[in-house]
Amino acid sequence: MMRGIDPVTLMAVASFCALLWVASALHKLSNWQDYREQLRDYQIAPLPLQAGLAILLVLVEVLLALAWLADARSPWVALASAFLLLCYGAAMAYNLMRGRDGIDCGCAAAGQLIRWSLVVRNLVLALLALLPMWLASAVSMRALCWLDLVTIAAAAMMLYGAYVVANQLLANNPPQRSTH
Amino acid sequence: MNDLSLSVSNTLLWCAVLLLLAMVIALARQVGVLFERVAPMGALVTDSGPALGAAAPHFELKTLDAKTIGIPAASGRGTLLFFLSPTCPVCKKLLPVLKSVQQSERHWLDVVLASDGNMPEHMAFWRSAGLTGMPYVLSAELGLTYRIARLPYAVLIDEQGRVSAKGLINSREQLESLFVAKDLGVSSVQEYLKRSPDADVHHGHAAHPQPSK
Repeated sequence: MMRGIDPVTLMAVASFCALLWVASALHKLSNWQDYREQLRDYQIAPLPLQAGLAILLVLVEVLLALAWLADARSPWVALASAFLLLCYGAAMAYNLMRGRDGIDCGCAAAGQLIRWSLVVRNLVLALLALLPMWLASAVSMRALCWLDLVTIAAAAMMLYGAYVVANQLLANNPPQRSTH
Repeated sequence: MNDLSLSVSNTLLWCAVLLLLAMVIALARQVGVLFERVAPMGALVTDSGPALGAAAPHFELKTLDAKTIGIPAASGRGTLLFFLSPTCPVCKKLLPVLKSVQQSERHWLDVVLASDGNMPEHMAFWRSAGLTGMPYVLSAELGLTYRIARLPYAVLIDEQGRVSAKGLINSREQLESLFVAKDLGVSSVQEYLKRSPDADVHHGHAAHPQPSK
């Protein structure tokens, strides 16, 4: 019997990506006014396009979350996720390079300013999002039992929790709190 | 050992991992809260620019709505100069506080917003943030005179035209500390502590005169 990588590994990473996008979209929707202002501060789109861009980003995030759950092996979902993460990273890098390091990053932690460490964080997340695409060919097929579902859900939550901790620790960095 | 006992053990372990992770998240948040709590309590005073107690240098400036105002005001009213920028997140957080200060102190105080840079950006910010009730001046010279290095920064000028308190402002408490400093006639927390050696010291750091809420 040929044994490849267990599908649970792939599903866990895919579920983490889905969780990440759901959380990101919910964060934007629940702080709509702040989100709009943060987007404006990034100065990446001309003013008339801002409202459209704000809605588009949330829509894409929700669609990506659903797509991850629907088909974890699809290379398109992985590529699109990595692309969006890199776009966010690029937007931060663009502002950091112009010296506008006093703007709010719009990340989950409140009042977190953009920094190079966040660009690196997005790079790591993008690589993680590409992982399922890379694993897909090596994954063996087997029927999943209930314990596998528990493992997938718990592993995805664990990955997300680790991400939250890492992000919070980045936000705690004292220089972050200084004003610009 | 059978499948069932393995499943039970596995599930329990996952629960334990997630529980521990939740506690780590809570701890990381607490560290963040702690950082905020131990931040300087009063407004951070920098030792440059016009000295506290000295007469504030006189400026005649044009506001965004093309009126001319004097700083300090000639009419025997106090002035709160608030230096801000449309791109500073902390400034935006403090705008509601500033509006409430303007309301509650309007019998003696004018709030003046100050910044520098290009007019259209500030004009758009002034309108969109609902700041039209406060004069907004653009003057690099004003910022240079008061040596504004970091934002948001506030300078309180009393009715006699003297600089009575100033500092870097990050929170409502720090803005209110300027008024407390003026009311108590002290120029800084350091001076207050020196004057009253029995000022209560607890929780490891010096208490600072808190305005009643």
